[in-house]
Amino acid sequence: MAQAFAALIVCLCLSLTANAAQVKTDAKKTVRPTWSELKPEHQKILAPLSSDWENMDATRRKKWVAIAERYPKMKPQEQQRLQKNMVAWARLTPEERRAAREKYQNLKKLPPDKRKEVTTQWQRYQNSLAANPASDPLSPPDAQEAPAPQ
Amino acid sequence: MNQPEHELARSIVRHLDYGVDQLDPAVRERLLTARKTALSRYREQPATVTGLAWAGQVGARLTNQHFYNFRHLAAISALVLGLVCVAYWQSVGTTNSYAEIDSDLLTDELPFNAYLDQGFDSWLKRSPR
Repeated sequence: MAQAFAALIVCLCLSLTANAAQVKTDAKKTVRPTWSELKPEHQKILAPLSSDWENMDATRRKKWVAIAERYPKMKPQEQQRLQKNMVAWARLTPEERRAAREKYQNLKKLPPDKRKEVTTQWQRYQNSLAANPASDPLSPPDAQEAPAPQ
Repeated sequence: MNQPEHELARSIVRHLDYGVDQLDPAVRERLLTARKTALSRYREQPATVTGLAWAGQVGARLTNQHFYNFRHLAAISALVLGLVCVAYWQSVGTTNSYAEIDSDLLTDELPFNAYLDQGFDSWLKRSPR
């Protein structure tokens, strides 16, 4: 019985070690799917990421493949936004992506009119920056004077 | 048993009883002791056999290579396979979850820069409601 328990423990340790080793080597060894292993239609959709593909771990690659699978069902405008945002998003740090996802999920919980308001405010903010880059971007047109940004 | 056999048996018993009567008392005593000892051991035998049989069964379970190989390795293999399946489905679930969030986020009307721009955070806080 003791032998059986010993064997069980050894197996568990081996499987856990193998799992950990796989995570470690994912970034160094051949990570799949490689760019050439992608379907031609996925390569076309993910073309903006081709130069960054080698630096991605397996989880991120699989995520992008899953996004590419959703792509045909997206509206044309959504497809354009995805193509436009893809590279910049992929080049963010993991912490930045995590923070953005968290804020996005919080925003999704808001009622549609509140979400629309945030989008409107973003456009105003962008217009304000574009109209007068030297001005204080922290001051909305209707707000009082604010201190300069740090 | 027919009549001649009964006669023969009675004759043998008479001879044996006669022989016993002729024995030395010391020899009779030793025979009696030996009989008692044999009978006492005979009564203990079934218990001894049961114990050995039980012990033997356990021993066989532990030492039987076939049993060890098949049952235990099958159980361990099933457990390891289960763990691998759980890890795989967790990985698939994580990937799909990220794919869903990221595709929604990257196709949303509000660009993802809005979530990272500290200035916009301040802008929203200072905007009149």
